[in-house]
Amino acid sequence: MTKRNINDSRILARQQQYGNREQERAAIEAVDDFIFDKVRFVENMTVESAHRFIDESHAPLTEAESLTAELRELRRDLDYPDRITPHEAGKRYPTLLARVEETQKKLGRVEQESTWLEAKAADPYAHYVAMTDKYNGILRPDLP
Amino acid sequence: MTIQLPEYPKSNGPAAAQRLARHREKAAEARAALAAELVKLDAQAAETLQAWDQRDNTRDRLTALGREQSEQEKRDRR
Repeated sequence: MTKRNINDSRILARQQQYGNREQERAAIEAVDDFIFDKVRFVENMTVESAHRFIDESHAPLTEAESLTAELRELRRDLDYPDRITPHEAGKRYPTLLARVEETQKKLGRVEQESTWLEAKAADPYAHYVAMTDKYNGILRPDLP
Repeated sequence: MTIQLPEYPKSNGPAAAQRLARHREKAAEARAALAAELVKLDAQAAETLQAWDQRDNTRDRLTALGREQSEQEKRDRR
């Protein structure tokens, strides 16, 4: 069986000759429903991944909040140089800086991953078409 | 002739996309807030270091002046 592009298959179903209107309507509906079921499955998986990802990637946001407060606290201490010794500042600053850099990297990854999943979730049909085109022959469904 | 295909009836994807967008925005805001706070800290640190340097210089100079003064007094007594 030839594995066609999903949209081509749907168009082909509409270009066939049928005995009567009822047969035509039923055949077209069967093809659309079959494809929509596949898309729905992928949509549900994407949604599940999205919620799991959001729930599991809160840590860098919480860390960023606490770090912002710690940076502010060090800045306030430095504003009154008698509150802090140069030795203490020299210990606190590099530790904070390293944590800030690490957290910023993690936040960047959260942004990237969110963007990637967002595009899939916003348009599940386009995502499914792109996916089946990319993995032609493996994922493209055998139509009824 | 172009055949118009009926659109796929989306389910809960768009709602998840909106949640992801808010999550992405929060992460971007947190990253920007960190960067902004770090800039402020660096500016304050530069100011404080300058104040400490100035204080150390002043102390060194005053100590040196005091030392010179006592040596002068010793010389005067002799």
